[in-house]
Amino acid sequence: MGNKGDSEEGLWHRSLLGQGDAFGALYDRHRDRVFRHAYRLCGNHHDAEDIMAASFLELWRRRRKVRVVEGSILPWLLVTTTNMARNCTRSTLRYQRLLSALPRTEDLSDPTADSYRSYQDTLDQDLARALTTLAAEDLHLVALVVFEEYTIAAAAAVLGLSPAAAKSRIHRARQRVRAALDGDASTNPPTAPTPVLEGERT
Amino acid sequence: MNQFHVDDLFSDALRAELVSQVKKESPAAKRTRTRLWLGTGALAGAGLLGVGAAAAGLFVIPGGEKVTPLASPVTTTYTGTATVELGAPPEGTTGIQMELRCLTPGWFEFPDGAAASCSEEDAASDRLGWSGYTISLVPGQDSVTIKTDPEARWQLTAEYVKQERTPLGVNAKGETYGVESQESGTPDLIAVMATNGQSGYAYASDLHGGPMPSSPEDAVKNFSTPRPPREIPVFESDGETEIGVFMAAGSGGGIPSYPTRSAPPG
Repeated sequence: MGNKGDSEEGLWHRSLLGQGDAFGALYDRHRDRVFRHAYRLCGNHHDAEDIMAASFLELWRRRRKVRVVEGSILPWLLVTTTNMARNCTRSTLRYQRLLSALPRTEDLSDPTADSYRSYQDTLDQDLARALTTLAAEDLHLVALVVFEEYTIAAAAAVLGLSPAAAKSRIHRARQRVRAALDGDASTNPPTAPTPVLEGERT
Repeated sequence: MNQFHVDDLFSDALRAELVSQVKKESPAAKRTRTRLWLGTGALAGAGLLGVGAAAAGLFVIPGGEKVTPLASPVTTTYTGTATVELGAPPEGTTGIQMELRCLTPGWFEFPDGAAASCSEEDAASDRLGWSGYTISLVPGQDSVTIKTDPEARWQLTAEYVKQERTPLGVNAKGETYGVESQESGTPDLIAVMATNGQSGYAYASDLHGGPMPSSPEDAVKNFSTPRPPREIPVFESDGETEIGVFMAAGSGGGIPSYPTRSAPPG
């Protein structure tokens, strides 16, 4: 077996065999990126936690459908996170009882007292709103390629698109987001042109 | 509170919940094993490899289940509900191991009521459309019936197997190690995987540490007071060579305190 067990595919395989610790290790590995992604899409801390949690629960519930891309489950997980965030109330409903039963640290700080934070909140929500103008598939592409720096080939693989189709879609999607953000004079677009990587990553 | 970090309390409880959900899938956790889904082609291949290797007696963790095929597998394609005849079971058969592949979408029910559902996408895919399942042999049984819609098409590979619980290992210090099960009980050293991905053993006393509840009220209190997960050492089977750490789940996240602990060695 070599050290296959250490790789992400090894951890995933062990998870499928019911080894909880392997799944725990995958959670540790990807939690923060999933959370940040959820936050970017909804602009709210509490909702982002719910979406992150629901994404991992969904990862396990739909484990039979997971596509491993470039040896990682993260692309699939991010696509699921995007779906969860798009129809937040509907998709987290399945896990609502569980989510509300999980303990949370009381947030005692008054959000309005911190001006930086409320400014940040506005920025976050503007971006989240601009992203809602995208069709689901385009949002998936933007999420994977622009925010998470996957190659177009990897994003296309997880979404079941041809690389060429993915490339032209992403070009249009980025123009859309930029237009949506420019329409709001109070914000600088945080989606400045990002170098897009093509081809397979080794 | 930091906007860009997950609340630790929330995260720890979620992690414990996920780990316990996954563990429900493990053969050790389920006496009557339900189903085992494998994700992709590569993984399915690896899974089969695992079965073969396990059958050959390789990397079976002490106390785990060893599955030996006793007859050559029968593969046949059917439409609708059908019974697959397997012939007389060889001496020593304890179960029937099956792989069901759906060729059309539908709902497929195994003899003991466990079921697999198959979507359009599953049926179209070589990788998604199969599920593996092992049932215990009922005395006199020589066939399996799969129930499904009249027009649903499926393919079943079934073979008689012998499932054996391997004995727990005993190290130089006289401590038992392996997988816990109903037959063997809880070993001193329980097989776990360290956070670095290495397989090893953690002391049951570390894993299930903490005083046992003294009353039902106490148990409820223990259970509902969240205790954060903690790091415990992971050893080789000798109980001395440390190879990593394991995050023992805190309580209050859905994992109750352990009812029994094995007596300390000696």
